Formats: sequence, structure tokens, C-alpha cells
Amino acid sequence: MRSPVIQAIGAVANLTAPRHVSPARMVRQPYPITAYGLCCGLGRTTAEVVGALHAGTRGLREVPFAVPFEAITGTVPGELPPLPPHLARKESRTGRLALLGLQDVREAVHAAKARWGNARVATVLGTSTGGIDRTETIHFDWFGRGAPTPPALPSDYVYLEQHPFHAFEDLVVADLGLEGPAFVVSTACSSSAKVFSSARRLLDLGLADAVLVGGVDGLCNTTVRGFHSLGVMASEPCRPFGVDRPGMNVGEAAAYLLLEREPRGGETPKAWLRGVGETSDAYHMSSPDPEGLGAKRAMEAALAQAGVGPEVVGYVNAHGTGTKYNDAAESKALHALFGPEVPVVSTKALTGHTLGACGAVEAIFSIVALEQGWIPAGVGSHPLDAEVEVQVPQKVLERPLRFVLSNAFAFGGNNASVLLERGAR
Amino acid sequence: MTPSIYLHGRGLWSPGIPDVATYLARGEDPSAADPADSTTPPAERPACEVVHPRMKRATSLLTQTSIEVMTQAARDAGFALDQCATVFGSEHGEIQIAVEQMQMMQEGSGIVSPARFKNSVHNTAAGLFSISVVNRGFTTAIAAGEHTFAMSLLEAWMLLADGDVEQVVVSIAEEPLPEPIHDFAPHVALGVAIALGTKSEGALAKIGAPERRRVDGTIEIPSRFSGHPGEGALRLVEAARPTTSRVVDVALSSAWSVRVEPLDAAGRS
Repeated sequence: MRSPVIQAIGAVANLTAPRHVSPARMVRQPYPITAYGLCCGLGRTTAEVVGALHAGTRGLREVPFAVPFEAITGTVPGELPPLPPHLARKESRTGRLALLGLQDVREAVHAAKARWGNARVATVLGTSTGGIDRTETIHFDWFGRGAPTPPALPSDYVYLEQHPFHAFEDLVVADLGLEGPAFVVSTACSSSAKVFSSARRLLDLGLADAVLVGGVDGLCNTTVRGFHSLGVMASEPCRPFGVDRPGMNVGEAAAYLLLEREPRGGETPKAWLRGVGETSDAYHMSSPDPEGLGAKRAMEAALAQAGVGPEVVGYVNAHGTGTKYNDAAESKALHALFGPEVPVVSTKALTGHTLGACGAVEAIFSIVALEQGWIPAGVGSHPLDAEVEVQVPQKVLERPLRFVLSNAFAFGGNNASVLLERGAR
Repeated sequence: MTPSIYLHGRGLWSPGIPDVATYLARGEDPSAADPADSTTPPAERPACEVVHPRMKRATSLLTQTSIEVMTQAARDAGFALDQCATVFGSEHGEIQIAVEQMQMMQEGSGIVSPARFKNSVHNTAAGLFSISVVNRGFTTAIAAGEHTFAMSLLEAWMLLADGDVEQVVVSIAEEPLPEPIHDFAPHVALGVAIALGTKSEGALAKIGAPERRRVDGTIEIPSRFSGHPGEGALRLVEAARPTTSRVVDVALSSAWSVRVEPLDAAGRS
């Protein structure tokens, strides 16, 4: 069926809907997520990452380039493999990361191509900075030598294929041989949460039969020095929701999920996409609405798209950057919607803040929780800030879960909340 | 069944061309074909009057252009600025600030300006617009290389067709690229916006979804915009009052096009 399921919904959703949304169409058709894979500071493969997530091992290491202050980052361990020769023109750290992260979904994407046709598989990826690291390297060389005349740019620097937002996506599309619609969402740290709603629209409207969504951001000077300039970077491991928390750690990741029109014959999907709430704070460029009202409306909208209330959610993967104001605002929003009982964890304590990739990374962590029936520990969060009125588990909680909500909030007051349901219904 | 989508308004800004009316009235004016300076940001800036001057000061030409054309198109359509959804497209994003920050990293303490950094994200215009007009609804920022306008238009069209919103304004804007990367894409400053809605009242035309399809002839645009990522958006501005149904190229290299139909053909009484 290609048209969205249109259902009447209850009074709760009507009351919480932003005015610009058509309430009659808010309950949405679920779509199966049939594969996922990632790399981040916790490991180079999905299995390594999930193992470290369960063990509560932090993936914070040295910054992989020189910066004039103390910092640690969620750096992917080891050297990033070089691009294959036929794609070497698309060189950047983000590009290398993008291909490393593909390894555990490549087979499923090829199966989707065979099932639906290359032109029916779309690609919607999120990033905050694309391949900017490549131009940083070139610019430092070009400008930094102090020569009276800047040197010529190296012949292997190809700005259009390496730096702009779409460059790493072109690399992914070329590597996988995809031919469906392809675009990048770049709304800073909510980017790869918002890709889920773009995918839903492509599927609802019959413009694609499968959509590879995800997020990729490699470490770069721009973000590491930029967040330092805002005074929100910690030189020690971050402690989301903790008392006297020192700030955030920047991280890097490449994370992908495959949505399809229907589950593969006889197979239980990894999870179901049930809702994506998207709102704006309309408050400040780099600080959240202190009452968390925009965040709360995003979570309510995600629930309304599934036609469910907050009581069904068994775990919230918080945005939880570890900064004073972000965590306080999110805590208020969570408490106002869920009360004090629902377990809330920020996995950024382990991965660092993977920026434009965090929406996809944490959607995968939410699916792992649904599949395997455990909630990760809130590493570093205790003792909790007295203002934090949500439950942050100190150790892994083993329990069956049916719905998990994953939050991603960004500069510009851009909020996205993704609701996922267990694959086995 | 997919609902019909209508084109309601247009916005445009480029140095020397403050709005759509000026652009469409260019006629045979030879100055319209003069190559504008693409090597440095022009001294001329869009009015961008919805943004408070204090907030505008630290923003780029790109942000100001994006917000200017978004505002023009919404007002042309009669949409309330605080209610319509917005889709901001740009291939290169905040590239002037990005390179300026790289320079800062090599001077003095090596720390970038916090005011610059918070305005360096691709969704700076999206955020600043939402703050300035107190719009708490949907906004996004898209990039897709030479298909940036086509994919931004696709996202906007899908938002309407899938019932997420009833009004959306989609823009594409670029500012000149700085050294040392300028020559890779020597674009002039240009912003174009299109307002779309689900209601036919007051609309200029009916518009289909972007598709891979052959176009019906060529719509000429001034040479200064040839090869610009906003080229397809300019064609749509020109084609917004069609007398017959036609397919319009909305991307470079004819990769994506949309069908634009006069309202009578769309069945309006």
C-alpha cells in the first residue's frame, strides 16, 4: 500500500499538535527498519560498538589533530581506511568514515536494490559539516606557511567532490550503486534524526520503496575549536545530567539504517519507525528554550504520529549533550511529558556528541535496546544534578521494551524526536 | 490519492535585483546580463527587515539572502510568516564564515569567534528566521550538490502532499565562494524562493512533484546565473504563470523537472 494510513486520532494529539500540522493526518503508517550499522568512538564495527555500549566503556580519546587547548573526543579507534582507488578523488576524513560505517549494512542495501530496483532506493543522510576537514587541511597549508604568495592548491584537492555537504553522500551513493533520490539534511545536531521523516514521506508518496538513512560527521577543527569557543567543551569525560557537569565532548560517527516498504518475506524487522516530531524553539541560535517547550512539542508530535501516549514509552535516549543548559531544558521537557519514572540515558557519555550523526547513532542504540531488552547505564551521570527530575539508571537495566524515544536537538532551536517500536509485535 | 499542490508566491534577490518584479521586468536591459562580481561578497545587502539589526550584524550574506527571499515569497503568497513551514536549500552553505574561521585558527590564540561559530551551521538561516518571526513549526536545511534546489523542492512538495503541513516556502541561496576555493564554483550571490500550498485560492499555478523527465524547451535566464545552483529556481520563477502545461527543468544538467499547469487545467472553477 503506497498511501499513508489516515486515521482519526484522539483529543490528546489534537491538543498537542503545532498549529501548522493537519491533525487529521497525524497517525502515520509504520515502516520496518530492516538493517543498521555504524562505527563511532566505541568501535569500528557494529558488534564492537554494541559490546562497548552494554559494557559502559567510554570511547573518548585524543583529538586526532593538534588544538591549542586540552580536549578529548569520541574518536574512531585506529586509522580510517583509505578510499578505494576509483573513489579516491572524494577524499576527506568524513568520506573515509562514511565508507567504514557502511560495512555492516552494505549487504542489506544490495539485497534492497535486488528487491526493489536501484532507482527505487533513495538516500537521505545527515551531517553538520560534511567534508570540511579536507579544506581545513588545504587551507592551513595554503595560508599557514606565511609565504608572500600563497602556493598553488594541490592537484588532488577537488573542493566540489570533497568538501560540500553532498560530497560524502555522493561517495556513499557511488559505492553502493544507488539511483533513487538523494539529498543531505544539515540542521546541525538534529540532522540525522530529521532524515527519518524525509524517508517516511518518500515511502508514503511512492517515490521510493527503500530509503538508506543515516548520519556522518568526522572530527574537524571547525567543530572542536568552535564548541571550545562557546565555553561548552569539557577537557574530561562528559557527565550528562550530572551535578557540576563540565560540558560536552565532540565525537565522530557514521551510522546507517535501511527502511523498506515492507519487511523481507518471513523476517521480523529490527524495529518499526512510528513517529518523527519536528519543531523549532524560536528562542535562541545556540541555547535551548530553558523550559524545553520546543523539545516537549517534538516528543508529543512523535507520539501523536503513532497514536500512542507517553505511558507506552519504556526508555528515552536523551539528546543529553552534557552542557549545563541543554540538559536542564531537556530534563524539564522530559519530566513534564513523562513524569519522573521513565528511564532516561544519554549515550553521549560514551560516544561523545557525534553532532550531525547523533540522531542515527542513537536511533540504532534505541533499536538495540528494543531488540535485546536492555537499557544502557547512564555512565558518569551520578550524582545527578538536583534540578534533574528524571530517572537515570546507574547500571544496565534488563527489561523488555516496546517503544523507545530518541531525541536530537540542535543549533537554531531545531528539535527532532524519533519514536521506534520493537520489531516483533 | 495525492492532493494537488499549488504555487502561490515567489521571492528573489541578487545584487542589483531586489525582487521578482525587477527580475521579470529586465526585458532587454543589457545590464541584467552583465556578469556580477563573484569574487567577493557585494557591498549591497538585502533588506532582510524581519531580522533585528543586532542579530543581523553577525550573519552572512547567505543567511540574509535566504531570509529575504523566504520572506518575500511568503508575503507574495499571503502566508503568515509564523505559520508556514520552511525548507532552506544551499549547495555550499555558510562557506564565507567557514573559511573565515579557518583563518582565525591560524592567527593569535587559534580560537574561532563564538559569534561566527554559532552562525556557521547550514541551518543558520532556518534558525534565525524561526526566531525572528516566532515560527515554532517545521523547518529544515537541505543540500544536494547541483540538485540542491530540485531536492529542496521535492522535500517541500512532499511535506504538502503527505499532509504534514498546508503551506511551505522553499528557497535556494548561495553567496560567492572565498579564496582559495572560489574558482571551483564562481557563483554570484543569488537567492530564490517559491511558496507552495495545498489550496488553489489565489494560486499562480498547479505544480507536480520533481521527477526525472525530459523538459519542454528551454527557459532563458540571464548569463550571470548560468550554471548557478539557483538556475532551476529562476526557471520556475519565470514559469509560474503558465498559459499551457509545461515541464520545467529545476536542476542543472536537466536531471530533475516539474510539471507546471495553469489553474484552469488544474480544474479550478
